[in-house]
Amino acid sequence: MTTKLTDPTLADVRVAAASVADPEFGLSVDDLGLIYDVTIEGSAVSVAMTLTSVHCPAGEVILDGVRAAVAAVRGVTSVDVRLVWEPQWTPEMVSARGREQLGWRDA
Amino acid sequence: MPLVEGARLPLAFIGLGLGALAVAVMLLAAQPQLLLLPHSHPSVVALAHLWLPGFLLSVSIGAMYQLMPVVLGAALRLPFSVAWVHFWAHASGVALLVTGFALGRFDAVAIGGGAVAAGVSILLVGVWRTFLASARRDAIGWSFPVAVSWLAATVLFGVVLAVNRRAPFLPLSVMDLLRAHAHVGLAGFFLTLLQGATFQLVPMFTMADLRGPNLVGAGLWFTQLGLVVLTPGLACGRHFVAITGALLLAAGLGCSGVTLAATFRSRRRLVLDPGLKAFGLGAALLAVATAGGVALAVLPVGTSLASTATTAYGITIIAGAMSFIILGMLCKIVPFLVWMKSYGPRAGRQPVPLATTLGSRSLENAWLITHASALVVLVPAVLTLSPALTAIGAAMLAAAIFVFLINIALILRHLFRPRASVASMPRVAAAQP
Repeated sequence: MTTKLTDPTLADVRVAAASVADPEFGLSVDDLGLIYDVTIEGSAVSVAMTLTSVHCPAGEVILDGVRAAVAAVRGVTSVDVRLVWEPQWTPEMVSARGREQLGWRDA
Repeated sequence: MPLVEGARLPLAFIGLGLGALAVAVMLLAAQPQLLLLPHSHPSVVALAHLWLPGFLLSVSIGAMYQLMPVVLGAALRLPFSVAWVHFWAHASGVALLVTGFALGRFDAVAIGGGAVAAGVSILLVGVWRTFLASARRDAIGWSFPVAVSWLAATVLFGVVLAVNRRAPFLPLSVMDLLRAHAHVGLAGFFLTLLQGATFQLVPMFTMADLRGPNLVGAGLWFTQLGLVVLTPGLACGRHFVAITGALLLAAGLGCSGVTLAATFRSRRRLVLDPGLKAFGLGAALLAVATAGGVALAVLPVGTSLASTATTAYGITIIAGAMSFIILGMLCKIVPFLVWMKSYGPRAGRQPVPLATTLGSRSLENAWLITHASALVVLVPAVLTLSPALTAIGAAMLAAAIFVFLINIALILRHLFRPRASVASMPRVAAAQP
């Protein structure tokens, strides 16, 4: 498959997804380590992500937010956000920047 | 999991509860001597019902309607129209109960009690049906149906008390029955609910690991065993049985306390916000009150020492422990519900504020400090039977709640006037002191 100039880049998609934050912690879904994989095929983007818990009360809103943010990236024509539970999310997946913001002692 | 009934139902119950709390603290500020009167005085009974089924129960039901389906992973098995019947039955029932007690109108008490009982029946069916439809069977899952079953028992106990007052048929002391009724409600419903929900919420809000899940179960089931022994012991005035029950209950709370402390220690979010600090303070006061409760079970009933100590115990557990826990959780739940409703649909489409920035952190701190200070004044005030200190403590408590309610109003304002846009995604809110 050839890449067109107008096709979205991985960096663009990551930045867009990172604009969605967990409303309680204030960390972006990227810093929380919720985004597991991003696949771009032409103008179609597929995002595999998880939630901090199967009981996360904001889960649907976060997933829908990521879908909307990625869909707004220039060149994206379709977005598939898949919710996955493997591997199970743990706080160890939080990025160094996220740990710093939380005041995590292991930062 | 979507908001239950667009968050309207949970917020309606929470609003009702906070309204009852506002009336209760205003009443207390205007008549602080209520805290020095005998516990069976009609105005004291009215105040207790304003605070317990009015404030604590209403808020707990609101939180339960929203939280339970999320925790159990099953949609609420109750039509919303029926849940609204519950709301109106509860609201009118509590109003009639309180005014009936205050005015000595027992016909109003009977109707109000019946309405509250009808509402609790609806909740009982809804909670059990939701629980049976879910697959979750750990202690956290069980805490919901068990707690609401104790609530039904509390209401039934209250009805028996009321009937017995009109046409005595139980050869038992009214004060003993009142103590049993209060403990079934406080320990049976509130503690059972807390011993489950706490271990869902605290790890979630603090990014902690749930330490010792087996101890969570032990805590819940020891408490149940304690209640089964304590309740008849109190009702029948059997001190040895009551003490045995109190010790079992204390063991249950001890298990939960150890687990909670370990869970808190494992948190990644180091700086606790005022809501979580209030929750922690409430849990600590619960430990103090439990020790006091065991000591009270030893004291002979009817002495002036027992009476003042019981008042101090009641204030510590109701205006202290339970209120700090419930209000602390509201500092988290109300902003979250409002955020979900006002800003959730915009997430990813435009910059939105965080749930933690909808209210004022300064007001939350001011509430917590003033409320804690009020307790520091009130408990010695009732122990020394000091009217002046009691008045100061009651006024401080009213001021604290006033500050809390202003903050809630600031948060609720976002329902009607959401921020148009936010310059950029706020950061580091999690680490704000």
